[in-house]
Amino acid sequence: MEQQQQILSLNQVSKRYGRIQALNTVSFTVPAGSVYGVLGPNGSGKTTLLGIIMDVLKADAGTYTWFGQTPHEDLRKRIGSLLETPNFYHYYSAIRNLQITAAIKGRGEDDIERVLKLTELWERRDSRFSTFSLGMKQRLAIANALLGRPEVLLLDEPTNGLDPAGIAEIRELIRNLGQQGTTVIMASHLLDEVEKVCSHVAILKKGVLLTSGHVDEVLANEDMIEIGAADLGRLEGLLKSLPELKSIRRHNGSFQVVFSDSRSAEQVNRYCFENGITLSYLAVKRKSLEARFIELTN
Amino acid sequence: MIQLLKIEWMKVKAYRTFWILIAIFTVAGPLLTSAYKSVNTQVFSKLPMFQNPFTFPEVYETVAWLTSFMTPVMGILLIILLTNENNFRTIRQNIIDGWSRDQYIAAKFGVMLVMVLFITLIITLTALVFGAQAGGDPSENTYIILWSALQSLTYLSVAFFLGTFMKRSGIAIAIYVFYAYVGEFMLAMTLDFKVKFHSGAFLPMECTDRLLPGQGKIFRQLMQKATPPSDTTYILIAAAYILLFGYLSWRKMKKADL
Repeated sequence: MEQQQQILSLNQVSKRYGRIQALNTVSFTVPAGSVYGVLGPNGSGKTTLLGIIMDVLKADAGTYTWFGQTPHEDLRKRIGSLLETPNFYHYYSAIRNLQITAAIKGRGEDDIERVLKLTELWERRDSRFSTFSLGMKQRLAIANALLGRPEVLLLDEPTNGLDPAGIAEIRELIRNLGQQGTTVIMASHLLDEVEKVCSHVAILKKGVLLTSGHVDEVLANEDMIEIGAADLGRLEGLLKSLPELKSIRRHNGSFQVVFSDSRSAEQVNRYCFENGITLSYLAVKRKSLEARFIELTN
Repeated sequence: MIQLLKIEWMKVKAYRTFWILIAIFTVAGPLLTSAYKSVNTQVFSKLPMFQNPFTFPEVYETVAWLTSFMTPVMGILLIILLTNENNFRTIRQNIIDGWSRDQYIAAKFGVMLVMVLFITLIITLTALVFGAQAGGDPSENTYIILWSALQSLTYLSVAFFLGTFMKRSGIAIAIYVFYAYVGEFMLAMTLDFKVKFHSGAFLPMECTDRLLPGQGKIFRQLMQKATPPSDTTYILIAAAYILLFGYLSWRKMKKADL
């Protein structure tokens, strides 16, 4: 089988700000066509990572490639980016700012109307950037990233400053672009956001990559079993006597239980029955990204 | 390079501050020349050493000298254009969108060189207009125009350096204006009178000020204590500063986290 094309590949990338190790030998690859979420709490190194791969920050060590090639400015022209904050000439209108981006990218001049309409800024196209609200600035930054239909989108907290309707629109937009084959790399601390749209995730904490890969792989290694019985006190006592029990949490009149071995629901059911407890409720749940994230980062 | 300059032009062509400062400079050079001519006609020309500063070829140096008092206006503009890119973080966006750092730096150096050409054009036109009224041979000493371009480049190199290293435009402009109008004069006089006469020539703007002293040469000659350095020395000092400021600015933009 032909190996899937890698859009981005990081190899042992490290970066330090004085005494703070912002990134510590981070390596992962982003396959073509994926919607790749880079997750981490505030200060985990997400923005530093994105800054390095866009050449605005310099790594202390390590290398990376775009499209399998050594980084080069022409490769960046194939990527639409929103990094940290919307960066525009304050004294210029939306349209003039996008014209400058199009000129630097060498394409997209004829795409300005489409992206401004898509982000609902067409009516305000001649207003100065300095008169825009926070949400409008963010929309313009998204329009800027979409300009010229890039092969790759790199979005750092894309829903910052947007209202709930705006967040839903952007989520839909990202999902649609992913379905159309655009590779999307997205940093966020909004796990719900990532879980809804991403096919892959990388989780960072204090500059260290904790895990990365397909969402199913990252989440699949530990299923969570929800069980309930008439006598919850006895059930809890029984479960706690199991050495393989990793965590137990009371949740809406039942327990959410995670075992360190890959114990099936059937085994749990039998074990409880053999010990005199009849279960009134049993369900296997894939652990939410949030649960996995909190477990990994705490 | 043309493509880079086209984009730099897009950044300023509808920027009001840009046009205001360009207008101030364009008007101020010839106006100052005209004002000085009036004073010279009425007062100074009665003294023998102040005669005929507006005939060719003297007019080139007179106009270059007078206009150099206005060149810091262009320096301020350069500082604003450079610090804007930092304040708006558009330097970051330009790189993200597909410029290399070298292209960004080349574009900004290009802007500085276009400014030098513009200043030189204004000086040449002003000199031709004033010279034509006073007479003489305009083809003599035209190298003075090149020297004035070198002077403008040293003034703007200092501005470029400040605009690159200072994040805040207000502070950078304050330092630049203070240094250009007062600070360097203080330093130069201190060096000349307290250290060694003519050592003041080793300052970044003073070197070309002494290369093109204009009517100020009369006062410079009055206080002269030793044989001054040659014109070549002044030119070499200026070139060294231009290269130094250019290199430091290039290194900063090339290596820094943006």
